This record gives sequence, C-alpha cells and structure tokens, in this order.
Amino acid sequence: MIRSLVLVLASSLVAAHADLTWDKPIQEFHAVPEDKAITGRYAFKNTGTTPISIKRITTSCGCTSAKLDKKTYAPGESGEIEVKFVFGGRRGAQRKMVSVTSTEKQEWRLDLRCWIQEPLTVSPSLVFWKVGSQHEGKVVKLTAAPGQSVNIRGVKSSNPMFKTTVDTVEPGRQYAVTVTPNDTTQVVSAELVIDTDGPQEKPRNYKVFARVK
Amino acid sequence: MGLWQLKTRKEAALEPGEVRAREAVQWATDKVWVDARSRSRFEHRNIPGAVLLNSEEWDELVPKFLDAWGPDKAVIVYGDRQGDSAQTIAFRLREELKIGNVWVLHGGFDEWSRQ
Repeated sequence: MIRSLVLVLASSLVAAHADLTWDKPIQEFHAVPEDKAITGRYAFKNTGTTPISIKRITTSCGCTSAKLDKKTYAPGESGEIEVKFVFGGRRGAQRKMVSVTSTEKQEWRLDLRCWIQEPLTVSPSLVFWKVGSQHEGKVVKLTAAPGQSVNIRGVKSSNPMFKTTVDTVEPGRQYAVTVTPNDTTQVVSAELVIDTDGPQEKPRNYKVFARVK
Repeated sequence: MGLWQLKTRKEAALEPGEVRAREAVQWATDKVWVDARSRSRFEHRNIPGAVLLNSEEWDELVPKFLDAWGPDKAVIVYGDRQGDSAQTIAFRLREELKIGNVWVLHGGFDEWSRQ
C-alpha cells in the first residue's frame, strides 16, 4: 500500500516536470561587414513530461530579433528559435544574449557570439610587459579576411621606446609583427599604427597598444 | 558540445563570468570598474573611479582604459540592467585585447546603486 502510494507520488512528480534541452545554446559566427547580418538557429527539445509554453523571448539589443514558430511544445517535441543579428556599424567581437522564458517562469539564456572581421584581423591588439620583467619581443598576428589580399606598408610607433619588425608569413594573407620594448624598468606606453594597402578603394590603418605597466 | 541544460534563474542567478556587487567590492585585488553604458548615462551617474568604455567610442576610449588597467587588476564591466553592453565590452576585452580576469557586474549599475 505504502509502496503504491510512493510510486503514485513519484510518478506525479515526474509528470509535473517540464523542461527544454538545447542543442547549441552558445553559437559562434565569423562574418565580414558586407554580410550585414547573421542568423543563428537554436534547436531545442521538450525533454519534460508535460507540455511547455514559451511566454516571452527577450533580446539584449535592438539589433537582434528572435522568431519562434509556435508557443507550446508537447513532451518530446522539438522546435527552433531563429535569432537574427543585424550588424549596423558594429565591428569586432560582438556578443548578443537572448532570454527565453516559459509560462512556468523557467528561463534559459542563448548566447550568440560573432566576430565581424575587418579586412585584416589583428590579434592581440594589446601587448604588455610587467615592470621589471624580461623585455623579450611579443608577436601580433595579422590575418587577412577570406578572399582578401592585404599588404603591410609599415608600422609606426608613437614612442621610440618600442621597436617593431614585420615578418611575412604568407604574402597578402598573413603577417607577424614583433614588438619589443627597449627596457621594462619603467612604465611606458605606445600606440602602434599598422599601415596597409587594403581595401584598395580606402586603405585602412590598424592600432595596436603597447604597455609596460 | 552535446546537449547542454541551462538552469532556471532561481537555481543559478549568475551567468558564467558574472559577479555580484557585494562580492566584487570585497575582493582584495585591485579593480578597474568599466562603465559600458552610453557617455550621457556615464556622465549622469557612475561608480566612483569607473572609466568609460563603450562600443560607440571603442577606438577612442581604449587608451584611457589601458591607463587605468594593470596586469594584476580585475576588470569589472557594468551596463544597464537590461541590454548587452557589459557582456559585449567584456567579450571584446577578452577576445581583442586578450585581457584575462574580466568580469561582468550582475544586474549592472542598477544593482550596484542598491548596495
């Protein structure tokens, strides 16, 4: 008798459970400004034992919109939220969050990460040394976006305390700039300007920050 | 990555990389507070000592942020309660400048104001 009661209680507890399981709640994209927008598709499944209804989908930015075909999903049923991110003038690493709330007040967060590449990607854009550390050179990698060819015309340092050398890894595609401070005994800073020939119609400069701190 | 179950807000209010204001102020390590909101909101009211660094003026404001930053300092980025300004700036600091020890203030400036 008691065993039956426990079983009934247990099964009712299981029956009360409703939940969504996401395939890829964090999605990453690499794009160029000309793409103008990207769309992420976040697939989910109701892995609970009761229907689940989506009450609200909130995006963290006016540049991001979310679309869902219907509101209620039966146990075992799958669905998909389509998230569109329109770049506007945004460049570089971007992160957009989407919050999904059920009528039962459960909440899930979807994460869209997008790197909107310039013609040339600079990584990292900061090189630093601790005061008193060895003043060995640090390398900044320059990589042209797919389908683009960019040549480095030169690198200028705002402070002669930092020396730079440019190595061509792959002409038009990949370069390595080595930055070396003359010494690291004192706090010093510089801005390095990388002068390029691309894009042809409007060649760009890129900044790298160098610090001894 | 396989299936990944997110927890409800009640079970885990903090997202990865977030910190609560009451915890952050107790950290023994030096901190840089970064205000990721618009200039007008920053100038209206901010956390004392915070530096402004937002997406709109990223290129112009990074040098000033770097003046305040140091390799042994924790960086705590805040925005408004709603919106993704803090998440985006923290992401850019990690991804573009490769700075570690970057945190997002849970609840943003609103939560700090309530402390």
